[in-house]
Amino acid sequence: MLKRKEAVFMALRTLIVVAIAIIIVFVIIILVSDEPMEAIRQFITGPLSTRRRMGNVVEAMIPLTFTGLAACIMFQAKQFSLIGDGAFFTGAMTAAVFTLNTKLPAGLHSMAAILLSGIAGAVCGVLPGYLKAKWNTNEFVVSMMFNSILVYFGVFVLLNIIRDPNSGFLASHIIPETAKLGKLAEKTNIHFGLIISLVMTFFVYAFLYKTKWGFSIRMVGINPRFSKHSGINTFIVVLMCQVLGGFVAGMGGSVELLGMYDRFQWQDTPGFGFDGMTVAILAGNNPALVPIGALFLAYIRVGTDVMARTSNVPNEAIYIIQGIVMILITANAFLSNWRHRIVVSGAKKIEEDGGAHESVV
Amino acid sequence: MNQLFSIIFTTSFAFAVLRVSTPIILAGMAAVISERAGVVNIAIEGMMLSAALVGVVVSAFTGGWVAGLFASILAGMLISMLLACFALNLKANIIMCGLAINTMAKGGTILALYLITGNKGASTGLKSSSVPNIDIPLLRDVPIIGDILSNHNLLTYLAVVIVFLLQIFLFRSKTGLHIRAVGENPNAVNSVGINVRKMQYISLLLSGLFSGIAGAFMSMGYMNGFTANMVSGRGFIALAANSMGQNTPWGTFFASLVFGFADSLANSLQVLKVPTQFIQMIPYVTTILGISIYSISNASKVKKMRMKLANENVL
Amino acid sequence: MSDELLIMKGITKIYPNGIIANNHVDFSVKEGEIHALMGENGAGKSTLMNILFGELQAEEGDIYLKGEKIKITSPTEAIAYGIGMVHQHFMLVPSLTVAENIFLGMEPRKRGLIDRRKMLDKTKEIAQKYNFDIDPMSKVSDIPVGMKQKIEILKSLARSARILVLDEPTAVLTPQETDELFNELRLFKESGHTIIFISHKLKEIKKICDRITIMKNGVSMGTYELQEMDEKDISRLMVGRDIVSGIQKEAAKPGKVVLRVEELTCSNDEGKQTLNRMSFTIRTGEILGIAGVEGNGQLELVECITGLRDNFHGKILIDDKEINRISIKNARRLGLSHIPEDRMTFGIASDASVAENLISDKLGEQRIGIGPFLSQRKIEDFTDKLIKNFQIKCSSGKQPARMLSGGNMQKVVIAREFSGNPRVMIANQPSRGVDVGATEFIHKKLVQIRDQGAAVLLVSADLNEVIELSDSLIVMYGGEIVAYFKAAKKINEEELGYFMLGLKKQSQEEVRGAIYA
Repeated sequence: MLKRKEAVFMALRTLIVVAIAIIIVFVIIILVSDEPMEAIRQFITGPLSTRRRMGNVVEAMIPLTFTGLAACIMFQAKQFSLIGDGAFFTGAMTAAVFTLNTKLPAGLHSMAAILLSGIAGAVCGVLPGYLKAKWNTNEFVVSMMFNSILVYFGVFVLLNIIRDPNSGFLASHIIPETAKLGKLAEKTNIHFGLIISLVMTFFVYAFLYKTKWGFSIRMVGINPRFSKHSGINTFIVVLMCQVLGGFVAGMGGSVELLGMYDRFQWQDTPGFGFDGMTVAILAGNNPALVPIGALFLAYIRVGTDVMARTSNVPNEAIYIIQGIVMILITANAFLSNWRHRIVVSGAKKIEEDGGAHESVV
Repeated sequence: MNQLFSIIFTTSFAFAVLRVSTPIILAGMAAVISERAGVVNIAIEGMMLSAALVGVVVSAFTGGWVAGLFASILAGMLISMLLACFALNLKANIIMCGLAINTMAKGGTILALYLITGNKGASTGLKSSSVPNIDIPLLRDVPIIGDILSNHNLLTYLAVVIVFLLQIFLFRSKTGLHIRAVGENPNAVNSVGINVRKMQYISLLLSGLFSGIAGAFMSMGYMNGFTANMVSGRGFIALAANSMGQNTPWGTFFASLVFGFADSLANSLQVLKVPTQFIQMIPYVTTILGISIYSISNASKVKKMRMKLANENVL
Repeated sequence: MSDELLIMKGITKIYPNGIIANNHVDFSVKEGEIHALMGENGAGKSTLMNILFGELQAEEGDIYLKGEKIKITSPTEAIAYGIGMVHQHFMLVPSLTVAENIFLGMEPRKRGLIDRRKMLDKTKEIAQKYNFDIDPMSKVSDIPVGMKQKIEILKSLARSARILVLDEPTAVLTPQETDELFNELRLFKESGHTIIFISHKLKEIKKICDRITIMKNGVSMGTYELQEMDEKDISRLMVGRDIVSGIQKEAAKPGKVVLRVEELTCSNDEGKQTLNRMSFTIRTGEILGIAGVEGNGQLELVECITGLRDNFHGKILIDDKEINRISIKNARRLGLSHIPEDRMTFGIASDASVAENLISDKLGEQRIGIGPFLSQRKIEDFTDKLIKNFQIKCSSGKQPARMLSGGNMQKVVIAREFSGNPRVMIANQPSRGVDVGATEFIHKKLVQIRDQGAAVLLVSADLNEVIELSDSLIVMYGGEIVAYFKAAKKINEEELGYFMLGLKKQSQEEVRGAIYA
């Protein structure tokens, strides 16, 4: 009984946090904009106003799902690595290089590219993962630095290996049609990657909660010394969670490229890795909830974009929302007084009913 | 190769190293004091960025770098209080908080810049001031040393003074002792009636202060004006420097110089035929190497000592 | 009532996870007395004292000092009222010196910086006043456990404490050090200090205390004069029945050697040699006890055998197979099980469910799944059975382990380790912090697997437990075996104390008796 109350409480709390974040941004909008109400209206309803914009929301949700899943895997083991971002970028770059240099039938071409990108992303995770596992090197700093290295490397590849000299802007050659992911809905850019992302959600969930490896990852996150005592190989877990996270993020990068773009043209990371962390936090590190978190984040992304286009409020406002959400959700003490009162009254009730005080249900 | 050496072994290169290291030294001190109190300050990056913008804006509107510098420091301290409030009082995960602050700073500075100047990229429209360089009268005439050490920005000299003062503060003063104790065993500190929270707040406040100065140097000393994302990871490199410096002010100082060296090297190597991207990687590779070497030596030092003593005791 | 120095009235405390630790508790002490506060773990005695010391706040209730109502909202205030607390887990800062630790928060200053000379002198002064022999300049990380406790006491005395609360002070002391402590306590009593002595060691309480308050399940069962009570009365109030102090077991029938430890030598992280050529064996159907004051290498020994430590020389063999460098997983496959000393760190993942705690060592086994997959149904069947067999008081396997009491958490540990079909069971302080009922159960289970043929290594600082439960006994001192007793029951406790303190040592030949072919 108490457990259900607690679950409801957690859900409510997430909603309140999100509401607060949005309200704060509204205040900023009011201060900034000449027509605040119009700007706010565009923000809230903009994504639903046209078919194309609704499509934008779903399109934006796809990469966020991948990086959200990647972050979940790493966060469950309490590894605060940012490698998802670099892996995403590297995955896309790998897909570009692969598809531009190979010929395969449609369907197979893209699947092979996605798989290869996953592997590339996994390789990215090896450095921070191994350093952490073997010598307890701070994975945050290593992954952050390594992301920069990966981006520079990717730019080098773009400039020197896959560049299309005939293109008006800095970009790779056009990616063959056989490698592109098909569209799912007319008049939008929603592509087959959506299906792949949902399939991966299922797999990652099953992995974390239904396999012994996922169990090991979760236990290491809860208590690493307990895990060691139980015979779990904590070295492998710490290494593999970043490798697996990199794999999923790498997949995401290639999916994004092959679904949304004609060429590889990123000169800097698109930043989905960081957003993935926000998504994971919103989802409480539960893979099953990642698509919902991704959808939400995508929605407010598009919302701020629409708002930026139609009013003079720049879309950087989105970062403020994200930041506030991140802080408030992980603030355990936020509304904890309320939660304490629920628990205390629940305990008192059990006492009066004559239940054993040891087992509080 | 010769060309490389002729670049490195010059006083101007050494001068550049000191100049480039300054923000890392200051941010490094921010890292030292917060780590000592057991508080991981990931938000140094965001504090620096915000302070950089605030300094530029305030100096433009008041016509002086002094006001700008103070505003930067204030900005750093305010943000650190925000971090303290959420991470310490509201028990949010401190790494997440740090990341959140960095995210908000990234967007917030561009937003603010846009609102003030209508420009999203740089503060070129603003007539901001810079902290002056100081030509030290007698020192500048000393051969070699004079060229390396004189005519630096005021904040560079301030950075070294801060290192010196922080060392004394941490190891000889009462508050410094308490802060160190809090970082090691907050329960012990609490049980004698010292307010753990207060110590953590003090250290975060100092951390914000140093970050503020670091940010001010970026936009009012190293460069003249604010550019979007101008801190480029220096706040994180500072964390690495602190690790390598074993959480001590002087150790972190020297570690910061190492990174400054790498950064300057990258700048100088532009003249060689190496692709720019690989040169740009150098500071980051150095950082990873740096903390890897540190963690490896830590781990193997302990292991070697154990095995050695185990061996001795058998014989 | 008028000579009551300190009165706590109607104290109620409920933890955020719903457990009612103190339920309208009344507690009072007279000036100049040594007052025992006794109860099983989870009874609420530590909570009550934490409230007194201002570390916790009660939901309801008041505190009166010398008749005046006071509010204690922090340790600072408690200290200001003259209440000093010596915690069970020491509150010392390892890298600081003894002097710095004692004067933490009241450092003498000169020109804004700490006056080191003065702090040193003051430390020497107070140590002499109370007859403590300490080195003010040594780092706390370097000094032994008994010394650390002295520093803890000095901390309170330096702050002019008149009421001293000692939380399980003798848990880490030898019989002789305990006597030393008791002498000091008597001196304190003479100089007008009041002492609250938290313990669940009946014998000691009878020796030193004047009155006793007994707590059970968060409720006070009353305050009594110790002279009018005997041990059976006290335990009846604590548990509601007579504690069976003798453990029922048949004579051991040891068989082949299962665990063999050869010339085990080890140094700890600070370079101190902690194990010195230890050699012994354990046979099937045998419980070998290791008696010794904590800090004489027992922990390192257990860590070496169970794979938590790898920097040692020597050999460890199970069924003649060397297990020195194999993984913990493989060691478990060979039949090694381990009840760790530090339950909360190694034994339990408190945020995981009871079921997850029960299966953490069985990943990949058929009982809980197929291949790499986990079967929800199989796990439920398996864990429900364990919960029943081991009488674990919880709402279901899905309940988070942190909501269980200490004793029940230990039962989870036992259930997990026993269900791994152990050939070798390493039990390290299996009943520490565990209530009497659960302790009895754990002892019964250990005897049970012994009878089923397991080899049990029992490491315990609780002399009664180690003497009653073991078939044979080793005494460790300074990382060596200083005594081997083939029949544990025949040992004289006082003699054992001498061995434990290193005052006596058996000959090489006698000690070699611990090694069987």
